[in-house]
Order: sequence, then C-alpha cells, then structure tokens
Amino acid sequence: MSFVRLFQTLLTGPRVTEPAALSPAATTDDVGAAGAELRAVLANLYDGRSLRIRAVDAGSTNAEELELLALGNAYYDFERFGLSFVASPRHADILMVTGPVVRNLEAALRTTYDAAPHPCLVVAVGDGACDGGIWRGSYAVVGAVDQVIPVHIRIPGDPPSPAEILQGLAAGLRRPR
Amino acid sequence: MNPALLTTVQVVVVVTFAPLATGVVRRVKAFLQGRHGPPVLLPYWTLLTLMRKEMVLSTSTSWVFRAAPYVVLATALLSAAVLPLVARGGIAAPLSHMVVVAGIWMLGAVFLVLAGLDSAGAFGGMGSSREMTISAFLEPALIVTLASFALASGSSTVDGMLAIGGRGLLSRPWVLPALASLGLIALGENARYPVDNPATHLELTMVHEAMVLEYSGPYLALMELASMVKLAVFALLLVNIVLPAGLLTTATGIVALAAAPLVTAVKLGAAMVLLALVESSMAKLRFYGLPEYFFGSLFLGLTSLALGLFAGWL
Amino acid sequence: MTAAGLASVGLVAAALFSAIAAIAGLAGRSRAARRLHHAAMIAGPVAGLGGSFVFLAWRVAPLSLGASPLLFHAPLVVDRLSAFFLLLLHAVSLMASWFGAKYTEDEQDTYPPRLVLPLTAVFVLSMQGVLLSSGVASFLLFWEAMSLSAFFLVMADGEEESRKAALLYLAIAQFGAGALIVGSGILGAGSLFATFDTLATSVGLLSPGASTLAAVLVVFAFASKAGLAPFHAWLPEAHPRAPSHVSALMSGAMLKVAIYGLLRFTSVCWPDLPAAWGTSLLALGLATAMVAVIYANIAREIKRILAWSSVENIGLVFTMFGFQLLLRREGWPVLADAAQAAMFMHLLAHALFKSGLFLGAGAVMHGAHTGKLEMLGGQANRMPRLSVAALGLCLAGAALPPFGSFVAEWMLLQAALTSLGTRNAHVVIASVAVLIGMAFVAGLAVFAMVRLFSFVFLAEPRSAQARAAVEPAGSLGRPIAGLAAAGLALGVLSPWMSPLFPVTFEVLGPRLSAGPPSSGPSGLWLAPALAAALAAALCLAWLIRRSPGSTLRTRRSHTWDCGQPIDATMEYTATGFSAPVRFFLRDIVRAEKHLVFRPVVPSNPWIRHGQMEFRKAGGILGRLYFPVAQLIEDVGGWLKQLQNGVIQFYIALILATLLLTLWVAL
Repeated sequence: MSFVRLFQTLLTGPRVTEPAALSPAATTDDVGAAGAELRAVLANLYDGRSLRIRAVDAGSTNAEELELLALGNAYYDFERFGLSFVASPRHADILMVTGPVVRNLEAALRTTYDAAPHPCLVVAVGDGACDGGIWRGSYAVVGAVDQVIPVHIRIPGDPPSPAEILQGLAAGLRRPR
Repeated sequence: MNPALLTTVQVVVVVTFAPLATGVVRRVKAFLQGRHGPPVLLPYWTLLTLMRKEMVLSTSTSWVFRAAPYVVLATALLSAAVLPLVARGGIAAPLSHMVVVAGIWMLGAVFLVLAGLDSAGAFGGMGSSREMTISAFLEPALIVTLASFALASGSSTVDGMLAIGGRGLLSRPWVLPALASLGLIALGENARYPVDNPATHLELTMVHEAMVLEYSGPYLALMELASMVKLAVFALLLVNIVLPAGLLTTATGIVALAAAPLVTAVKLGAAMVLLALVESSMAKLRFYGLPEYFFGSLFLGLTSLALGLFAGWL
Repeated sequence: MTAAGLASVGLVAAALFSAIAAIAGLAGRSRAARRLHHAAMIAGPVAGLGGSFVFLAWRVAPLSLGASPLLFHAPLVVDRLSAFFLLLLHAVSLMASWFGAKYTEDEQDTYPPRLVLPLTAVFVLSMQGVLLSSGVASFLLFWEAMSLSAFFLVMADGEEESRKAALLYLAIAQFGAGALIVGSGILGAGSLFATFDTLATSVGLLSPGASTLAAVLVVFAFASKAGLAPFHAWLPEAHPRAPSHVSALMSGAMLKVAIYGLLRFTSVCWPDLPAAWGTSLLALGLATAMVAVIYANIAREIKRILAWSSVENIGLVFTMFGFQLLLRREGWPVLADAAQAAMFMHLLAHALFKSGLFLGAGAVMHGAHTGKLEMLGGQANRMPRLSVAALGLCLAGAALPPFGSFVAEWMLLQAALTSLGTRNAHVVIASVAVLIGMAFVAGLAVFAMVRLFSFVFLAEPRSAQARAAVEPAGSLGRPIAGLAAAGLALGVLSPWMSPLFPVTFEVLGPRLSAGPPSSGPSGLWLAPALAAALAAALCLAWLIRRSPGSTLRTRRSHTWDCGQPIDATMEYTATGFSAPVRFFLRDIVRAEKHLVFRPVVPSNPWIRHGQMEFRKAGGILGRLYFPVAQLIEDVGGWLKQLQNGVIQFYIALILATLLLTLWVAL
C-alpha cells in the first residue's frame, strides 16, 4: 500500500461498504460438562484476558478451517477480544480441534494435547468434532474429539459461522463484552 | 541527580513500557489493515498468563535450553541499562562503548541460537541458522555505522554519541546515511520486516519465532519480554538520536524525573507508529535476498564514515 | 631470595624437568617411568609459570641463565618479551600435560608411548629453548628440534593420512628453516654464530638490498611457521592428526613461538621497518583471517574447525602487528603501543582458549569415538561438566564479553577508532580496513564457534557411538575447566594484567582525540565493570523469573514434532547450518558442481540418470603448492641426468670442482 493510503487508513479508519453488525450475544450459562474446570482455569489465567489458540485439523472438510481463518479478517477481527492464533501448541492456551478425529491423526492429536502446557482448554469446533457429525460410527474415524482428549467447549455447526464460533467461545470463556 | 538513580529509573521505565510498545505497534498495524486490533495492554496480560502456565521441557534438550532465557533476557536488560534511552550519564553509561554494545547484543543472539538448536527439531535449526547468518553479516555494518557516529561526535560510547543528536545532525548532514543504516540494522536485529515476519505461522518464513517454538510458560515469557525490551531499546535509541529532548541527566531535577515516563511513552509511541507504517508498506525479503540488505546497510555506514573523514580533513 | 633468583630458579627448573621427562619417556614401556614422565611434565610448567610470573610482576631486569659450549657459548637470556611468551608456553603445557597424563594412558594403542612421551617432552623443551636463546645458532638448533619433534608427533598414530599431513608440514617447515638460516647468515655477515646483540650492529653494515632480502626471508620463515596465508595450508592438515594434547601445544604454543621469533628478529634487527611492511602484513593478515574463518564454517570435523580457527586468529595477530608497525612509523607511538598491547592480550587469550578447545575435542573424541560433526550431538546431556567448560571456551573463541579475547578485540578496535582522528591517509585507510575486516571476521567466528558447540553438544546424538558416550574422567575434564576459567579471569581481571605485558601502554579513553589519552573511566577498567553488570543483569532476569505468581511446574515431553514422530536423523546438520554462509560467500568458497546426465531411454530425454559431484576447486594447495612441488621435481629430474653411471664423467666433475675451488680461493 502506498504511504498516502496508509496514512488515510490510520487517520480516518478503514473504508467499509456496510457497518459491522457483530456483537456476540454471550451468555453466562455453563457450556459443556467441563464448566467448573473451565471457570477455575480462567480464574487462574486472569479471566482469560489473553488466550492463544492453536488450531488442530483432525480430519475436517476444511469448512471449519475457512471459518476459523475468517475469524482473523477485518470484519470479524477476533484479536480485539485478546485471542490470537499461535504457531506451536507449546505457546497455546486453547486447542481448537476441527473434524471427526480420523484414525491417522489420532496419535498426532494426543501428541498435540500432550505438547500443550496445562491448563489447556479444548474447543471442539463443528459437528464432526462435537459428536462425529455425518461420519459418526464410520470405520475411518474415531469419532468425537472427547473420545481422544477431554473437551471443555463444544461449538456445533456444519460449519459454524465465525459469529457463532465467537459466540460459543465468549459464552464459554468470559463475561459479556 | 545520582547516576545510579538515573540508570535504575531508566531500566524500570524501559522494561515497564516495552510490552506497551509492542502492543502499540500491533494495534497500529491492525488499524492500517482496517481492523480494530488487539488491546494495547494485551502483551502485559500475555506475559502474566504465561508466568502461570506450566513449562513443558523436551527430553531432547539440555541445560543450555534452560539457561538460555536468562542470558537472553539479561543481555536485553543490560543493553537497556547502558544505552542512553531515558537518561544520559547514568552509572552504567561508560559501558555503552560501541564494541561492548555490539558484543552484548551478539551474546544474546548466540544464546537464542543455541536454544533453537537444542530442541532437536528442524524448525529450530533453520531459525538458528538464519538468525546466526543475519547477526554475523550485520556485525560489520553495525561497527562501521557506530564508528561513523563516533567519528562525528568524538566519543566512542553511545552515551557520548548523543551529543550530536537533534540539531547536531543538521550541522553534520553526513551522519544521516549512518542513521538510515542504524535503522536497517534495527529492523534486522529485532526480527521485523523486511528481514523477518514476527507474526507468521509458516515455519519456513520464520527466523526469530522459529527459535522460540519449543519454549512455554515462564521461559517463553522471559524470551518474549527480552524481544520486547530489545525493540524498545532500539526504538528509543533511534528517536533519541533524532530528538534528544527530555533526556534526564545528572543536572535535571525532580520534575523532569516525574515527567520521564510520559516523555518515554510519547517517544515510544511515535517510533512504533513509524515502525508500523514502514512494516505495512513493504514485503518481507526472501532470506537468500538478504545479502543486498546487509551490503546496503554496510554501504550506507561506509558512506557516512568516508564523508565524515573528508569533512574532518577539510 | 630475590625476585631475580626466584625467576631464574623457576625457569631453569622448568627446562630441567622437561629434560627429565624426555629421558623418562624413553623408557616408556614401564609404568613407573611413564608416571615419572607425567610428574615431571606437570612439575616443570608449574615451576616455569612461577618463574616467569615473578619475572614479569616484579619487573626483574633481563637475566642470564647460564651458557654452555653445547649451545655455542650464547647464554640463555630472559627479558620481558621472552618471559611473557614463557608464561604463555608454561600455562598451555601445564594444562596439556595434565590432560595428556590420562589421555596417553588410555590411548596407548593409537599413540605408542615410547614415541609420543619423549617427543612431547623434547617439543616443550625445544620451545623453551627458542624463547631463551640469545644467539642465532642456538635459536636455530632449538627451532629445528621443535619442528622435527612436531613432525614425528603428527605422524604418531601411524596412519597414511597423518603421514601425508606430516610430510606437508615438514616440507613447509623446512622451507621456512632454510629461509631463516639464509636470512640469519646474511644478517650475521656470513656467520651463524652471532648473538642478537651483535646482530643489531651488523645489520647497520648491510646494503639496503641485502637488508630487505634478509627481512623478507626471516618474515617468510616465521609467517609460514605461524600459519599466515598463503603459507598456511599445512596447518589444517597437520594439527588435527596429532594427539589432542599435542595439537593443543602446537596451536596454543608453537604458533606463539613463531610470533615471538618474528617480534624478536624485527625488534633487534629492524626497529625501523618502513610503513609499507606494516600495510602489507596488515593486508595479508586480514586476508588470512577472512578466508580461514570461512573455511572454519564449512569444515565438518572438530579439530579441523579448530585448526582453521587458529589460522584465523594468527591472521588477526598479523593484522594487529602490521597496524602497530604502521602507526609507529607514521608517528603515533601511543596508539601503536595500544595496538601492540591488544596483540599481546589476543595472543594470551588465544593460547588459553584454543588449547582448551583442542583438549576438549580430545575428551569428546575419547568419549564418543568420533570427531565428525555429522555423527555427534547430544553430549551436553551425557557430558554435562565438560559441556559447561566447552561452552565457556567456545564463547571465548567467539570473542564475546566478558572473556579475555573480547577485551583484546575491544582494545584493538578502540585503537583503530582513535586512529581515525589522525589526519594521515595511510593510517586512516588502514583503520577503516581494520574496522570492517575485524568486524566481518568476528561475526563469522561467532558463527563457527556456535556451530562447533551446537553440533557436538546440543540436541540428539546422530550416531550410536555418540549415544553411548560417557563423561570423560576428572583428570581429563579439569584441565579444560581450568583453561576456561583462565580465559574468563583474563577478561574479568584484565586491568590487573598489564604488569604481565612486555610493553607499557596507556589505556585509550572513549574520547577520540589522537592526542594524549583522556582521564576518566575508560578502556580496560570497564572489563570488570562489564562482568559485574552482566552478573547483575542475570540476577535481575532470575528475579523476574521468580516473580510472585509465577509457577515452577515443569513437565517432560518430547520435542514438538507436528504430530509425526521425529528422530535424530531429522534434526539440523552442521552442513545445513552453514548453508547460508556457503551460499552467500560462494565466490570465495568456490565449490564446483559437476552435473552429468545420461538418458536412460534414447527416445525420451527427460528420463535420465543424473550424477552430481560437489568439489572444492583448486585452493592454495592446488594453485601454489603443487606447481612449486612440480617445479622442484622437474629440476630434480633434470639433475638426475648427472647420475649417468659413467665413471669418467664423475672424475671429470671432481676435477671441475677442484679447479673452481682453487680459482675462488686464489
């Protein structure tokens, strides 16, 4: 971008075609059976003000991956909630697992969970990760993520839109913003 | 004012504001991309959160991996103490001799490289190989650039080099290429564009990030704090050369001392906005395209040195 | 007892103990004789260290230690220059002999004791003799003894490669010795029995041409023995093949003895060497250092890397020597003294860290049974104590604060910076060259040392023998730790080391005026302050780590591998690590790539068998040494025709020689 355009963006903000109508309607209901553990972990980690996410594709159709990628774009911009993606599970506080766990990736998923420092929250994104989706019972998949590693938050949808992912995370993680 | 007090105040102020500087540069870059961006105070929460998480240590690593974060942070803190960032003439100021400063930075880089290799992974090895190459090839440029500042100011300590800052630069315009070269070196040493991408997830494009991939918990916090402090150090140094106003000295009073954090914050903010603009306006160079960058920096420094020698002779 | 008495007792005892060790070593089959040898080899340097330290610290006047008809009636003399180098020699040989005691016992199959033990003692004794000689003849005698004992020691393991390396070393050493004999002959007006005092006067009687020729020959002799380019090719071949403690002695002490010879001859015979000598030695030194450090980054075996690093450091020493010569000729004695002090500090620091690194290489190779970087790794977990000392030595080798080698580089760069202010074109250009050249060499030297340490000690072992390695015995590890500590102490205590230097010098301040040095905290006094500041910063970092609220919980796991199991074959290798250097400097490294393609099927040119060969092109050995050797062989072949077996021809030759002698004599 030329310097002139950069300055314009800096001073007057981005040019948008329509204003963003996004405000995740978060609730304080406990989501998932691991609610108490979730609360304890977040209380220790400063109410989750800075949480870093590692995305693990355990055999999805990439639909959830596209939605996760959209989370970082200028429209949804999940960084303003203190979340960010990191490159290594060693740096991660949250593992976002997508897809029903295929047999070839079961060991890798366990390794990833083992590599992440505890406490690490696991979020199952998409129907496949939550309960196996349309592949439930297939010989090629293990099934829902909680059959391999413990899951704290489930975000159903095929795939869940970025707004739904954010709502699900916010509902599980923190006070309403 | 007591020189020991000056150095202490400087270290406290720089370390306190370094995460803020990183937050500001990320926020401004996000603005330039049309996003809202992360909160400016987020790096503080990140560091605090990391201190509470357990550390996972690889069985392939050795005591060097466990010792490296301390040395890397120590060299960053030492450079924050000796360089004229908030105060001039502190008790550690004689240690800001240009060779010593280059040696301290190189020591930190060496331990970072050792840590990257100790994890026995290919990512760390690649990052270490690239980082060591960048440090080794920027060394002549750094020495020549600081030598031309030394020649222009008549002092070989960086503390003394600030005597030609601000208006002194206008009367010695041949120092400006050296200033540009110092900017290029700063970008290279801090793993910013166009040498490295600090926000990438692709290991093949990483230099600094690849070496800390294996760290977690408090050690990762130490490494992140070290890189934040180093960025703040380079930023304040460059701003102080251009605009040495507001620096504490042994002659300034309590009012200036109380205003020092605000002045530092303003300087850091301006520098970070400039950095964000520079980073957003160019693409990262490929690693094998870096020799031109190194030679460009060396050439600018050498130009400044040669012109300074002529100016001194005439 | 006076200081002079103590000094002479110490130095004489050192020589005597070496002689005893040599004789004891000859009876190397008996365990008791070997023990006596080792005890004498350790006791001697202790006495020598004490003697030379007392000489330097108490500023004793030059001493004579006695004369002997065996040594051509020239007395053995100690002055400040020789005492400094004796201090260096005894420090290195103490640690090397301490290491060698256990090392030679364990490696008796590789290095036969009856050969190695007496030769090592003769080697040390002859180096002491060179440093103590006051006459040309005894100097040459000890010089040859030093070269020849080193020659046999390089061949000690009896392998073909070692023999070839030793012969290359011997050839260049004999060239140098020949040049030294001819040069000394010219200087002594035909006599080789002059003392250095008479040489000083007889040089004045020579014509300028003869004086220059003698200077060229003498400098060539010492430069080739020290390893200055282009006469360095023997060093990376010979130093790795010797037993490790002998390699330490060769790199740590013998190269310094060659520098001593250069300093002695130039200060005695040519105290007013023209500035052009300074500039050319400076340029040669920088070129040597740059080329050597690049090859140190590419070599794949521990001791070869260390040998190339020695060449690089000798290049830096010659740079400092040339620089101080230039400064002195152009009329800046204060700056010249400062540069010369930097050179002495560098010599001492290099002796300590290089011998420590060679001993460390011996210990690692002893434990892991390999010296190749591609087969090592993971030794920090298997040899933790050795790895701490080795890291200290590698950091010293990289000239990083707070070690002594950093202080030496600092002193020289400060001298170069201050020389920028002199309005003398030669000096300024030389200073700029020194600044850029030394910074470039320093950067790549850090690269080489980091590579050396990382691929020996860090990550996972790359071979079965590296995996099975164990920590070497204490008596192998303690000398290495001692040398690392000495290198650190040299840096931290450097302000108090100045009495030990042969020259007095003013510490240059931070103000860049080329006039009298400024007052105020400056130069050397900053070295202990820097060490203290580093220690304080480390404490602060530890406090930040232990800040309230932080956790101490750790968990062991395997390296993050993206979910697929990795093993030691997937980690970075030493060759890969230095790939950027090889690529960025490919015009200097000049590796030739030969690609040969053979089509497999004649109808389809894209299906083909490919073969790639990566060869190092030419090099000094190919372009300089082999043509010279070929020329000598050709001349010899032509002269062979004189041996035609016809007896009348031989009688005719005798008659011709007789007639020629009569004509010359009458």
